[in-house]
Amino acid sequence: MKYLKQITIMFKKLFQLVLFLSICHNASADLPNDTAGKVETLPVPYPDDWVIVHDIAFDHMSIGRFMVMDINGGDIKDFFKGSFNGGFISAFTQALKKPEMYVLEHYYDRGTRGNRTDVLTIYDKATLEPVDEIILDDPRLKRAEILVSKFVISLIDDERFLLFYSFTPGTFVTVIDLEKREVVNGVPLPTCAGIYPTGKRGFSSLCGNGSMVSFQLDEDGQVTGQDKIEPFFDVDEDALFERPAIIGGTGYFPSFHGDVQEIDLSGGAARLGEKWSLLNEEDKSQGWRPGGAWLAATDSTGRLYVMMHENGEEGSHDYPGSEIWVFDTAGKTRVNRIPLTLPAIAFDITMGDAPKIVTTNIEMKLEVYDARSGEHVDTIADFYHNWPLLVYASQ
Amino acid sequence: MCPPLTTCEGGFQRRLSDWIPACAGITTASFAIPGLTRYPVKRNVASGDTLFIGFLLLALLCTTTTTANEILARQNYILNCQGCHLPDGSGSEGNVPKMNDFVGYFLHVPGGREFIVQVPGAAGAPISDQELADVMNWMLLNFSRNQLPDPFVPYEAEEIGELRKDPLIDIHHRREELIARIKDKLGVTEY
Amino acid sequence: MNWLDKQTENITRNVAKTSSRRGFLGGLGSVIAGGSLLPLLPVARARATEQPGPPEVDPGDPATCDYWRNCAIDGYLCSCCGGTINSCPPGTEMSTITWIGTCRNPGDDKDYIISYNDCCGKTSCGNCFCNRNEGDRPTYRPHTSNDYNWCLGTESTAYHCTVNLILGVAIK
Repeated sequence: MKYLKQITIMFKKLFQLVLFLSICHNASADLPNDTAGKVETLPVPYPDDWVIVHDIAFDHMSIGRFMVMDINGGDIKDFFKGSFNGGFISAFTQALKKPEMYVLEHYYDRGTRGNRTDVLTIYDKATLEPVDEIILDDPRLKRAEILVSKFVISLIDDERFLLFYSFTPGTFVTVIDLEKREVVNGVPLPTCAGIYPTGKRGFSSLCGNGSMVSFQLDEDGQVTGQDKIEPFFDVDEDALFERPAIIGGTGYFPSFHGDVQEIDLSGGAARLGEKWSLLNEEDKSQGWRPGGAWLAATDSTGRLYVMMHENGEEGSHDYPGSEIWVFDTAGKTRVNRIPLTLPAIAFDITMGDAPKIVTTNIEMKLEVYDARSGEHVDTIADFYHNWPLLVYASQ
Repeated sequence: MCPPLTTCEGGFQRRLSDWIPACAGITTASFAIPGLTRYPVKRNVASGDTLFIGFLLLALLCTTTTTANEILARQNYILNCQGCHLPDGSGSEGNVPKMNDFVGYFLHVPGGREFIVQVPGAAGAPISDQELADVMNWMLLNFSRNQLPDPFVPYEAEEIGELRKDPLIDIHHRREELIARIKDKLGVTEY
Repeated sequence: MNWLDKQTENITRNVAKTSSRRGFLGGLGSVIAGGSLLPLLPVARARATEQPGPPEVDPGDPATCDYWRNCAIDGYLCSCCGGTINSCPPGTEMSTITWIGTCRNPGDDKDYIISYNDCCGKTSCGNCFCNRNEGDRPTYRPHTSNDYNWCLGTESTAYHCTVNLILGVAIK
């Protein structure tokens, strides 16, 4: 028995030792050391519900930025995926067939003063790193600084050529061969603006006298043909916005007063299509008009979405919209009215089977709506930003 | 650089006689321009007092009836052109062509008269043919009087209306051709 | 420059509409917006360097968005940035290339030709943002478009604020 008692005590002590050791062991299971230099990358192609938001940093414009955001995110750790910069009022476009994004920007070597360098910076979608750049040093071809036009920069010819609008105030369209990574042409433009891809390797622009010009380029980016549509609208009476939605090769250009002008951009030269009204008599009597910094977009089914405001008047064309109207372009009929929880100044629509409308509202927050039902889904706010102006769907 | 002023005098004399009906009818480009009224009046003193007085009256009529036209022409220049071409037509080198002491040379070479109307800024300006004719004449006489040919035939609404139907698209190459013609003919270069 | 479109103004407008705190754009604004191209007699050209006259002929505060001369401005008011309605803040450079429109002066009921010159070379002023678009047209007609950065022909295109210079009275 004595031994038994001693054995019991021994076991107890052994147990305590084991327990102690095991506790010690647990306590010593430290977190692994981190490795310096690790940087995240993003999935490419970006998921349908990601957007790129241009923060124009209007109150300190020397560096704006583009934010990659997942609009399904719950809070900041979910929705903010990364960012890249754009000097001054930069312009943005993206390839869909290769993982490249393009920022047209310039910098001064003393910030806001000194020698100016104009550059097309090419970012990789996965790393958000600048992977290449094309220096733009022709003084005639300085880019136009326009905040609210996505069509100051366009890709044509299966994303081989990048075109941008130059305004010095001489007007040109600069042609960059993205394969050669060099400027190959500066196409003199009459008093016109907007670069709307046209046909296989061409573009069209709206002009100050209410006409449209079209240019076709050859494989070297040189002009092989030009054409025009004689003046077809009155710029003073009812101007067309230069911010259309392009749906299946047709540009849908809203007018200040509420018409939409169709222009066929699928052939070698732009051809005038039908003009129809977004408004019925009641809408007209209530003064509904299209408006906003970015006011027209489409979804994967080809519907036309236009942002609208009430009580329109001369000068109201940049007003925020209180509703987004949805049109079936085949029947030219309105199929939905989506009231916005807060008026918005710009919007875009994500692609895919469950498209979402993403607006920038007047409080500079992003709102998400279900594009099919019009239902308000989410408000994305409380992230550091200044002026998240234009929204670009990632597809 | 500039054609001699004496050449211009003859031109202005003929122009005035061309303009007299226009002045009286308050049509066409007809401005009270210092010098324009002076030269013919001086020359016609010898022809007789009656004619002299008649010219004086016509000159006065031109002066009084065309002031509004001139002001409107200048206003249309301000509203449609001046933002880029600047108040004195000097433009900005490399970006906006210099018009002062130069634009008149275009009228010396084939195609030049058409060109300066068919440039998109002029052709597409939201003003009537008559108003554009007035702006063109006002610009030529105010910015480039000494470079005008003899005779200077002012633009009229009808001619403007025809020209602006066909605005140029490739203005830069066209301009280079004309500048070369001006250099060949008059020996002047752009700046 | 077309800036944050209507953001400030519309918030102001909504505030004015809903709370009646100030008749900002409800009163004066609608007068300005009413019509801006009626025939008027010519007057002597105003010098750009002149200061605004007494209130009865030049009513309103140039440092507010609803001041009549701001009828198509798009940017920061230089009056709030160390400059005035017609002079740039210290150390900036005034653009010579501009866009030009007309605004109705409710003080004398005349339409004035206004040149919108940007002051350039420093980062944005940030004070008194104002965006009004009477007579503004899209970028394909540049000389009536405030969507461009008009810091052109200046040493730097850095946009700071905008002044409005009277160039004369419109006769038509």
